[in-house]
Amino acid sequence: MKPVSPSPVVYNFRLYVAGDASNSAHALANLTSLCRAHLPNRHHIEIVDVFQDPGRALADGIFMTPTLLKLDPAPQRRIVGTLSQSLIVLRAIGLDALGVATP
Amino acid sequence: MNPSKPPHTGDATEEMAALIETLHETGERLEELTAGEVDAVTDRDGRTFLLRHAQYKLRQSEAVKQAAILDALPAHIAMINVQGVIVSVNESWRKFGDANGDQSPGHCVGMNYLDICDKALGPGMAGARATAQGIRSVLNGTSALFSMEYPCDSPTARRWFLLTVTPLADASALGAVVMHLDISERVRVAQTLDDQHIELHALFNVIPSMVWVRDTSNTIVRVNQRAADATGKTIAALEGAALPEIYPEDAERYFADDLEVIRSGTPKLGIVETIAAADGTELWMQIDKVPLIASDGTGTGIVVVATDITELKRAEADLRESERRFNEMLDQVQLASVMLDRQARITYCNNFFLSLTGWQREEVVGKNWYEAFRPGDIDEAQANFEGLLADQHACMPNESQLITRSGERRLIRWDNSLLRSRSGEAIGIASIGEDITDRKAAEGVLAQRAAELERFHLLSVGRELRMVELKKQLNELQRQAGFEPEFDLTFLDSVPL
Repeated sequence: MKPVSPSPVVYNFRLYVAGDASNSAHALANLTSLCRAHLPNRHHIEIVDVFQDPGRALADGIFMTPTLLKLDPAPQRRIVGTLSQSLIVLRAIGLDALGVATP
Repeated sequence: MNPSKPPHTGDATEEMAALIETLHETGERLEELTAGEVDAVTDRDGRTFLLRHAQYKLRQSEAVKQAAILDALPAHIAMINVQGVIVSVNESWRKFGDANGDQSPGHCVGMNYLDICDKALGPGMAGARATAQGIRSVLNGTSALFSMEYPCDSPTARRWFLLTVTPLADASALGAVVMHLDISERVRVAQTLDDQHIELHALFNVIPSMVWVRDTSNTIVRVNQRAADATGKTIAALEGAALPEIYPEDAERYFADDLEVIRSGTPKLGIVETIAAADGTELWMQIDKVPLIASDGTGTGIVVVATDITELKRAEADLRESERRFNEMLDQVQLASVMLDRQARITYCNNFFLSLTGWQREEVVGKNWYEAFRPGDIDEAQANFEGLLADQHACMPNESQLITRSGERRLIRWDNSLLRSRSGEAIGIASIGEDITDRKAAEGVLAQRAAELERFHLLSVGRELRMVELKKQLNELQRQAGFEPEFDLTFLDSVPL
């Protein structure tokens, strides 16, 4: 009987942005690029515009944008900024340089 | 004004200055703490503040996007402020200026468009004045749009442009957008279409037939002048009218036929029928119907071309009558008439010929003349026929025998005429023949009898002449013997010998 490989872990992100502001646009672009490269077909990104939905930001305790919130898998992580330094971002969300989950 | 707060005083000005200073310092400190990575901050009440540098970058980004959109457009675009000063132009404007020798610094940015128009001189002056008037009407809110087409030829080509002026955003007080779009190709196409329309119109009305264009609801879309004249109505009265209004009795029949042609997609040509002219006379018409098929294959209408063939019909009737009389005449004078084509096949023969030969018409027409009536000398006869076709002078009267159905041989004296096509090519022979069989036989008998008479004459007269000679000799001998001549030959003195 062959061993069954476990289902891949899906990463859920929530990115808080300030409309079309420059840093927010860069953050979204960098996050999308990182997920395609290291988490293909196992990521989900939710965008929250603080100008359109300020209550969400307040409820989540967000007071700076852009801010990335990693919801799943645990533990939750919060990263502020443009996400331009991919290695730091990967480490922050629990992945190594190859996109492999670190303990 | 908030009634709970006291009105501003001189202290308030100082307070505002201090707050503004604090605002700047706060912004700078936040920039430092976030290393410039943060666009906005949110307070505990959920109020979000866009930081200064983010505001600046946002404005820049919007400006770049708008410029990219404007530069991508083919139209030459200038934005002017409320006073008419050009504040920006797009890439097409700059390129057009460069290509047409515009030496103004900054491609006219900073110059007043209205002043340029007001001061224009020369052939374009009237257009420039109209442009200035149109721009002013948009800037002062009188008009929501001004547009004008105008010519602007280059040294090598004719050109036309469409000028449009629209207010900037929703309020004209902010300025206007002036756009010049090159419409030369459209104008050229329109002029070509106009020229073609004129040509088609002339052709439509000069052809010697009636032309009707009808749609699938039996409505007359277009007619030419001949068609209008035939109905006694004007073109304007006909175009757009339903066909039953013009031909109430026949419209339904016409429409059914039209629909059949449209649905089949196949033209129906050569329909011959009579119609009543406007003056009540009967006209013979040849009608050709061609369906109009759209590019998607659906039938959209029909073109009906009706040609008056009344004169042709009359000529055909006259010809048939003439032929009938000619044949009747030939039959009455008992002459055979035959026509052969280039292969010596019988294409026509009259009734006398049939009665002479004992055949029916359907048994004869199409048959080879020589095989049917001169099988004995077919090779020589056909060679003669080829000679007749080649040389019209060889069509001299000639006599030849033909064999009837019963095998009897009849001698015919033929008078032949070469038949030619319109191009002059020999296409056959037409022959009139007289049956001289009996006459020849009678001539033969007569000749025989004359010969017999001649022999008898020779015999009879010869004997008498010899008797006279003998009597002369006897008379001479008697004279010599001294006797009186016995025979009286004095009658010889009065007979010329």
